[in-house]
Amino acid sequence: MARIPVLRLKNVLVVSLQVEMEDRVAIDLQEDILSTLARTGAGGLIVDVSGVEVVDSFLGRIIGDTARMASMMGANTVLVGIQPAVAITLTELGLVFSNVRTALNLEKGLALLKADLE
Amino acid sequence: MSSNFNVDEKEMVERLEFLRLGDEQRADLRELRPLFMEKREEFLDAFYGHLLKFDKLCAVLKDESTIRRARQGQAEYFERMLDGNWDEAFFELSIQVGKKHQEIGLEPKWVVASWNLYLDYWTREIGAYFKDTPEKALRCIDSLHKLTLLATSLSVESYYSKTMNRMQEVVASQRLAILELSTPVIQIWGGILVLPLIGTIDSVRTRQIMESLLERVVETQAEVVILDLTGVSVVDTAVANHLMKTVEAAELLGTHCILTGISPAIAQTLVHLGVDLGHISRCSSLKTGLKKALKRLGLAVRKAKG
Repeated sequence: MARIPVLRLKNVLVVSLQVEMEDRVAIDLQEDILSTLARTGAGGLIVDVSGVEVVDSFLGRIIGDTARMASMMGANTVLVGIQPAVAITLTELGLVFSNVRTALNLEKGLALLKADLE
Repeated sequence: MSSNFNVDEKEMVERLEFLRLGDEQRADLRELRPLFMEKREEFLDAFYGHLLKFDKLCAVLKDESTIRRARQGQAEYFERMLDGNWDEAFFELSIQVGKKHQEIGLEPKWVVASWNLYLDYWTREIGAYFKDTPEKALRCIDSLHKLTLLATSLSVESYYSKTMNRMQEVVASQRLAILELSTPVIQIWGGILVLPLIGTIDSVRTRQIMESLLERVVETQAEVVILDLTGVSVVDTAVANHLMKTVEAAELLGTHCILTGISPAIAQTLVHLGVDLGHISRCSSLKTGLKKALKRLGLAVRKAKG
């Protein structure tokens, strides 16, 4: 089963979703992110979803939940690279991530977490 | 989208049956052929002589060669009618006649009335031809009536079907043009997009607006989007709801949205409808919206020195 790497860049964790996400992979990823956060004490989390073309309600909820869980553990989460079609689906589903910041690309996302990178 | 007027085999049979146009009539009409051949030119002279008395028809039959072609076509068509072979090709020809009339702008009122010239002339001729057998004359006249009614209805139906197709094509192309024109997303500055909304916003347009805006945001990586409502005449709950969704989707992409140009009337409507625009930034005019956007990007507009 595919496993998605959780990379660490200074005090920020970077996760890039470049494959179509199966439910099981998404659940494993949530576990990995949270355990890495606990281990490293990172202050920021960037999830790059530019490679994701389709989001269903399950994946949408997992992403939102993970971000909320990460912020509970003290990490600021930024979602970057959401595709137009995905954004439309998420708003249609009513899944708007109230406590998650978003940015157009990885670079701008990292700029939002500047403080954690120093 | 546009469907061509066509008569399939089942309908051909049905039409002939309904008109009671069958073998008897076919035999009657075939007997008229010698008469027709003999008097054809005389009839056509009288026919076009009458037509050319009218300005509108003179305009359609503009020169000698057009008249000659029309005459020939007509003679052939009439011959086809009388030979009693009312097959697919005959129906197709009748339909083509109607289409042709539509193309040259010859309205059905002239066409239908022209068939009266046929009946007028040939009724008289048939009467004289069969003067010793009036019963036969009556039967032939009746058959001719039936056949001209068939031909008239086919050409008129096809005329209107063609007109309808034309109109549908025009409507479709205009709809497309309007859609394209109505959702321009303008990059007004590096990192700033402006979406001026104009006119009435309906569900088809809302979808288009959302899609083109989001695509442009990703394409230009713009950090700020200004949605300008100055040109929007009416706002209802559906439109407001859609605007909220568009803003939410755009912000999900990571861009910041500013709503500008909400007129007093729209503000009143929104409050009366109980619409809450939530956390979306608002500015009174496009001007102040642009200022705010520039500020967000750390830019400022200053007078050049000197």
